Amino acid sequence: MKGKVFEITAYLMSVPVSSVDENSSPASLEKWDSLRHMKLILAVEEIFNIQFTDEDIVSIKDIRGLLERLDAKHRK
Amino acid sequence: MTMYNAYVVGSHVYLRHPTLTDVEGPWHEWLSDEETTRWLGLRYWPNSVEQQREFYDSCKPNDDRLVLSIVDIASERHIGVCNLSGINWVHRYCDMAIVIGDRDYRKGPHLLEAVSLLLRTAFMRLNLRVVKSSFAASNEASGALHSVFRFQEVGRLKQLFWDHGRYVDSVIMMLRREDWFERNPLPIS
Repeated sequence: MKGKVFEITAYLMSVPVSSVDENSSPASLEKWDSLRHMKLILAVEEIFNIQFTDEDIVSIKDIRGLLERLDAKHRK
Repeated sequence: MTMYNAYVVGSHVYLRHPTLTDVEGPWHEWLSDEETTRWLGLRYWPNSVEQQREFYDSCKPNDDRLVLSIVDIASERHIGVCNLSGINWVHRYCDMAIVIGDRDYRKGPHLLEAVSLLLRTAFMRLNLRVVKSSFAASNEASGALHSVFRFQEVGRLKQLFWDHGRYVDSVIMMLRREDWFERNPLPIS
């Protein structure tokens, strides 16, 4: 799951997968703007077949937060 | 941390009725700015503080339009404006619009939270059943924003919108309350 999220992030932010980890955020990835942020959320929802709540969406600010919300969805 | 006259509160922003201080601040300048107004349907002429005051006055006794200022909680800074307009109390639908005018707040979570709070207000507080919206097809960010909040495309007005030298479709979107509730279930009490 984590690896797939890293791959999606790398693709959307136009960086090598090796430069994405749990600490990646808009501050560390130059191309992470609001549009790519929304595309990341949409891509993760589609690939993992889940729906984030509005509260999830607002709370996701970085890869760690995204993984936490994704993990919570899978545990339900 | 003081929040003045808060109407609905999130983690990063809160929404409240506009104030005269907002009118005298940068609000009117946002609606003159070329980049900010690129995607707004009715903003072609320079705005002024006097026009902004007229708009502010028109917001007061108005049951079919709810205009709210978006305020950054941390700084108490007025960063944008949003509204539910054309509210139909019989059929219970409205149109939604939002502008983050302050460029410093366009990359963070403020826009997403403001939309989330506005939708919660429409469905939970005002008991509306449909929120409509529209955007120019060339506005990729607005398209993504509507998708994130699960708006459904219900039609297009072909080649309606003049955008930087070409006509593009106006995409008509709607979000139904039942779809919003499906994604945001009420907590079990």
